[in-house]
Amino acid sequence: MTDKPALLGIDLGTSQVKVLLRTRDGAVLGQGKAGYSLTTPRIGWTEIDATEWLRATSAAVRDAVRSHDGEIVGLTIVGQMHGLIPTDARGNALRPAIVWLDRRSTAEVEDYLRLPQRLRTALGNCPSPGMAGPTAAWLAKHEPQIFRQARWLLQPKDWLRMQLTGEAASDPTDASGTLLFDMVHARWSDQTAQAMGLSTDLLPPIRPSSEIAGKLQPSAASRLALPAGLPVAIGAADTAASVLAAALPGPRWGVLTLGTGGQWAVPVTDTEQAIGADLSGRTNLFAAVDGGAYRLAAAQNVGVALNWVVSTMRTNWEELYDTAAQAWRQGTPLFVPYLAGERWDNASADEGGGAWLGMSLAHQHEDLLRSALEGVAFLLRSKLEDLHQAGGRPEKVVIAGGGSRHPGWQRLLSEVFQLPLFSSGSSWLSACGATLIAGVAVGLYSDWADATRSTAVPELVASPVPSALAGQRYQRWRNGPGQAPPVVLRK
Amino acid sequence: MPDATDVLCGVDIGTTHIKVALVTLSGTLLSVAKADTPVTTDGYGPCHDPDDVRATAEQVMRQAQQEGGVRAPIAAIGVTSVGEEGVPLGPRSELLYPAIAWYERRSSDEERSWSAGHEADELFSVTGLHKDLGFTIFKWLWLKSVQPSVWSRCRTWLGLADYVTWRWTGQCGMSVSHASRTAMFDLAKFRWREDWAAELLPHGVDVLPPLHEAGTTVGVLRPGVIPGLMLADEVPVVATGLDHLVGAYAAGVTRPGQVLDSMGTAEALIEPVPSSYLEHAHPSIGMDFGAGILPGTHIAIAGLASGAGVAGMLKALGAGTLPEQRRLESEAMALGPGSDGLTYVPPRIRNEAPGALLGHKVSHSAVHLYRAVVEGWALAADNAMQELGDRDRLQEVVCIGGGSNSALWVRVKASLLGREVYCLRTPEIVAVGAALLAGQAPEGPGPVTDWNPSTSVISPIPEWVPLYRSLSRDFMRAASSIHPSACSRIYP
Repeated sequence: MTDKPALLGIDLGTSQVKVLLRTRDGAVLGQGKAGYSLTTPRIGWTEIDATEWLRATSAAVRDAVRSHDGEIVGLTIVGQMHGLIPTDARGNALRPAIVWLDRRSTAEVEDYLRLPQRLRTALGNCPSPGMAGPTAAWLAKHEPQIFRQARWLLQPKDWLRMQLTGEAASDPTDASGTLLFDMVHARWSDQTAQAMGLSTDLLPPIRPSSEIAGKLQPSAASRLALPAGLPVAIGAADTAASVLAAALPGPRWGVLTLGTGGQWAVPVTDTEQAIGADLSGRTNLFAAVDGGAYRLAAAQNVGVALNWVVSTMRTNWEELYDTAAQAWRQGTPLFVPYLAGERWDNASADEGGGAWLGMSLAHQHEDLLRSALEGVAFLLRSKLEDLHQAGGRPEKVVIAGGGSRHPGWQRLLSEVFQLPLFSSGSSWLSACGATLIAGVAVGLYSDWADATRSTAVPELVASPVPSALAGQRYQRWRNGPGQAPPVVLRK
Repeated sequence: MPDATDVLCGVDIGTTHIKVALVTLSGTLLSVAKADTPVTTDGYGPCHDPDDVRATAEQVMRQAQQEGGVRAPIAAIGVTSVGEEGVPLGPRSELLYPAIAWYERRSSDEERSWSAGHEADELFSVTGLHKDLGFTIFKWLWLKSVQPSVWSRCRTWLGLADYVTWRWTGQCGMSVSHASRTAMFDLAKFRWREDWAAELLPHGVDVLPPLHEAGTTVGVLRPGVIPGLMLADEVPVVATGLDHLVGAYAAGVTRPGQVLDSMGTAEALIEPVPSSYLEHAHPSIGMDFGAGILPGTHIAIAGLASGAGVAGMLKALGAGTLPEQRRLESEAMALGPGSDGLTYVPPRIRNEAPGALLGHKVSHSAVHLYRAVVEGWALAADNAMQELGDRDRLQEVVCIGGGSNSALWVRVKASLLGREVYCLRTPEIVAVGAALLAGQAPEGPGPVTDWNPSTSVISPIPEWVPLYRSLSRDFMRAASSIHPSACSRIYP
């Protein structure tokens, strides 16, 4: 038990919600998590009943605060980007949420690509299915009745926060991922919205992440077992929160988060210059919590590919990661991890792009496991190189997320990236970022620098060992299957 | 309990097991027994100690006689074995080196240097064989290069079956079909290639044993040489042939238009071909040619590593036990053709080209992987079989070996062919074939009069046939991207 005031951070992820209760000084007082399942009503569609988020969040919050009887002074929700939920004026969802994995809006992405260059540049990002703007345009075209009923088009964390406070709002970090946000002027883009047949009237007001959105309403308070009236901050996108919580010590640092997917994030020093620097789709530029911006390179097939290998090859994570300690060998099969589809340049692969190449009869269980780790590490390096091309060049990397803790895996990644890796202060980086935002919002921290001082200093966990063979194998992967799934599969 | 006046004994020295079958002259299979083939190593790779092999064979013969309650004496013995492996004997007939396993690939350097000194098509035009590191000639070159002191003392070379026969009879001899797998056999002239032997062997062609047609006696069992076995007075030990061909003989696959699909650790597709076929044979045909079982006949043969490949995938998937394999098999059967988009392109062993598994998605499970691997090997075999002539000429496909017990595998094969295939259910058919050939020896008790193997007919699944026709095209597209080929045939 502690009498220190506590901050509650909620991270609404793709497959689960994580809740962290933390003191001002960084002591963890409680944790909770709860999962939910996505649905695929049609091939390429990915949805979820948004009330599942509320159900899971209630359970996870109750777990996190169960043994805490001190004061909780603030709450923030951070979460998955790009999704869309049309709601009525009170925030009731009019249909299941369409999440970032959804691929239905390919025609609308084509419409985006026909927008005037000036508008597209101001978006800072290449259009892609699954982002809120194209999804909203799809909704207007294909579900006009629902679209006409909608008062708000909300993003996932904003929907959840509205359930707690009754207030509709968004923030720059999430808004910058919608393709309806003008990165140059930091506001909704009326012209883009109109050109796509939408209206910014449907989008909630944009407010800074650390503003108080409202007070926890009694009904929500009772559901979450929290005191009514608790201040709820605006919050941020999950990656923006993790960049904040990584507390990067200098300008040439980056964050690599490994979960279901993998994301490289590097703060940019000159936002104005960065806008429009890479509209290829290989990287994204999003607003950061502190008012700046960061560049993101994301891979979809990280945890999802390794999890598939563990389950299909009837092994366990320890056995998988143990193969990271094996020596590099020229004859190991090459693993192409594009199981769930992947994006590069302006193209994307459908699911079913995974492969093992170079399989001989001499290869055994362990060789296939080892090659899976290599393939995922190669995919992450290719994304790092995308980041380089867009001007982001980290020299030191904080590694975070559930899939980052095994020392052998850390060493293998360090060898493939040829970069030193550092531990993060929290294993739940985004949720930790949420508590920092809550602390700034309620005045427990004087500013962002004060907040990040409460996190642990990154510690070196793996130094790169030069390996010619690792480099050669990466180049083989990069120039061949890594570039795109084997041609034969593109039917 | 079976009582018979005379019993024929067949011994099959296989890659993983040594098997024995006891058969009456009236064609009744009295007893079968088997034991693991003992494996050793010479520090470079797997080998067989021929005396361990012989001792195990003798133990299995006793087991077959005792456990089968067979009270009649053995009157003739036929021995068959895997091809391409053998042992060198020294000046005093001492064993100089163990038998390097047939599937060993250690001699790539030697193969390269041999190829540098010979015309590209020379091997095929003389022996009917494509270059393959497994052939005996390349094992000789390896011994010459890496074990020169052993090789210089070699006075006699015997195949694995021949060594066992020699230890039992004191006589040397090799079947012509085994000889035709050494890559030192002139297939047109049916004799050893003497100029190559002079170039390669320490004492030229004298090192090589006399050639025997299948069903001829190499020697008579020396008294007391196999203790604990009930034997007739004069027991001829008979040359048989390459194990797959001996199986084909027992399965009745002896004429053109019939194909034996021997689904062992290695899968061999064998068709007896008219000798005139050889006149038009060109190396671009993927098949190897060799001597058949019946005197003066020829066969076309394609080898794939299917059995080892499927077993390897089962092991990689953690399905080590029989119940787990059965469960996987039954779930894979229910999955339907195409493994939900997962495609396995098997490796090409001959040119050391690895294969690939393509099209993974998150919803795929171990069941999909297993079915894809079985389908991949079946499609590769189907591709190899196309070289055996047009489908109209193909009259009958007979499957033998452990792989033919997989209901999924044979159903896929039948559906690919669009016709029934026959699976022999007589156990240890290769050992049975060796026993049948033992009955052909003039010195023996006489031939088997009425041999009817137990067979089941596997029909194609009608809905699968058109699906596999289309999947076969997809497979070829995938396979030719992994194994670039100038023609429609990729395998073997």
